[in-house]
Amino acid sequence: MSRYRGRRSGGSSRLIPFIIALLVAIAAIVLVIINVTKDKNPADDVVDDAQQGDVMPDDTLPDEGDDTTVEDEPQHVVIEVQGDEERYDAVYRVGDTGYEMYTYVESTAKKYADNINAIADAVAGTATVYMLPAPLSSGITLPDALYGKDIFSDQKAAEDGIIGFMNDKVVSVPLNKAMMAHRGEYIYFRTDHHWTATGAYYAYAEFCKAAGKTPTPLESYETEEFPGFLGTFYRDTNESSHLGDNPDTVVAYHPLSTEATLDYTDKNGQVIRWPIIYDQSSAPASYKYGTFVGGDQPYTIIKNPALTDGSSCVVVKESFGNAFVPFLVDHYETVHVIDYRYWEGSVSDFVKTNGVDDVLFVNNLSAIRSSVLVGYLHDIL
Amino acid sequence: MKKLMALVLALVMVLLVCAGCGDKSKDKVIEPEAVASELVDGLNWDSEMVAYDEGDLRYYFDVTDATVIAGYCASTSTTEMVVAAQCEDEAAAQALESSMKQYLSDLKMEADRYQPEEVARVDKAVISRNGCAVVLCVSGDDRAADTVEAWLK
Repeated sequence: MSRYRGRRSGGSSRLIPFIIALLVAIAAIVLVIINVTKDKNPADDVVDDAQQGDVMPDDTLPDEGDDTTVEDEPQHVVIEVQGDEERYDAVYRVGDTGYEMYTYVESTAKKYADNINAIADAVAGTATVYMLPAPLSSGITLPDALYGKDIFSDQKAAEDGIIGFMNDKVVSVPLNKAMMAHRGEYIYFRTDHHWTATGAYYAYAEFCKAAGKTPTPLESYETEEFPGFLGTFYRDTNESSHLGDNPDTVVAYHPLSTEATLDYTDKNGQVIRWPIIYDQSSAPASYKYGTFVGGDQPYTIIKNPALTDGSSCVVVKESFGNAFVPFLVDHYETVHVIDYRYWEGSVSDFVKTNGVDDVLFVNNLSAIRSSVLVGYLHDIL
Repeated sequence: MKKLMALVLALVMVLLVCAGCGDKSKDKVIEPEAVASELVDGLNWDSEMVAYDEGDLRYYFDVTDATVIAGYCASTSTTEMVVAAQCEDEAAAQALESSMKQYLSDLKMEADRYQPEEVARVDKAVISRNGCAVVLCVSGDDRAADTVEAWLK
């Protein structure tokens, strides 16, 4: 038996597989190194950096569409603990500000995503479905030293988890990064669980990016202010004087169109004409968030005669959506608003019957972890 | 040796059968539809109560395929509801009970925010389990707790 069996011929061809294997091994090692250096716990980073007193890097993901590079992390303001702290049933008070204690529930988030995916599948080819998971103040304006407490789940991670469950027919619009970039502004109420209209504006701007629309500059809007607002956190903290002595101001932005009309169908089936921004100057302190789009009605329709292109959208929302909807009025001839907690019907059928172009799910993270609310959404697929 | 192994195996089988639902002599076995409708008929409700779609109940709660479940909910916006279930084993019953407790917690949060008039009703909600039988009842009727307990004795 020859020693050289099968060895003498094709010397250069033996090298090619070896070179290929070597290149693959080098590429694998490089990828492992990249992944290891990217792997961080955002909450730990936030707490550690806050303790050092430095300006915090923002925990960001690569921009959509940029699969290969990580952008430089933008800086955002540090928020210090100011005042005493007290824990209530569902709210944590820090000085004059309440924060909802939030726990991400993956199983409920999956159910929520299944609902959105089902609607996206049903209306594919007819309408584009957008999903905007609105963060809570406890994920954005919470003092830095308190991130990582077990009563506050990481909302950036929650957002990533929720988006991760969406199918490829859903256009997810991440909001955490944009809200963090503006966390030094008045984007959440202190005495209430909602975002302010300014906070909703930044979400609207992110939606515009995703939808290929140009957002109206914030300074273009005429504003109206309703001071003396004491919201849900005031009640949740047993009417703490820390909140009571420092009420919020509801700032509302009027759509540019002055001719747009709003009609809502209330829970008794009555159709009522109402202002898009309602004067709440004389309303009780707890009612002032009701300035937006007539409050929580099962169904609302807003028509803008300044637009005649037949464009339409439907916003499926709970109350966070109220402050968001007015910004859409100047972009669509018709804006439908469905509050899924009170509306009966099928969103999929509604979209097809009404020829809706865009479906926006504007749902806050607290709603997405609620088995009750996700159940209500399931009921109107 | 073979006899010993056979004896051990037999003992294990008996233990497994008994483990399914604890002490069988005390376990309550219910017919969920009958219990739910009797609770609807026997208590006072502010709304007309309508039957849940079984698929909805299986969506709202952690329900195994083998569990038999039925219930009624308010035809208006009140938080009134009654759900009864017979699970195949205690683990399934415990999981269902746990998901019902979470559901009630979420329901209370929603009521607290948007239906404060319903908070008192949700606070009086009853979840009761006996072995593999589980009952949830959200009612303004003060007799609800005793009535549910009577069904699960």
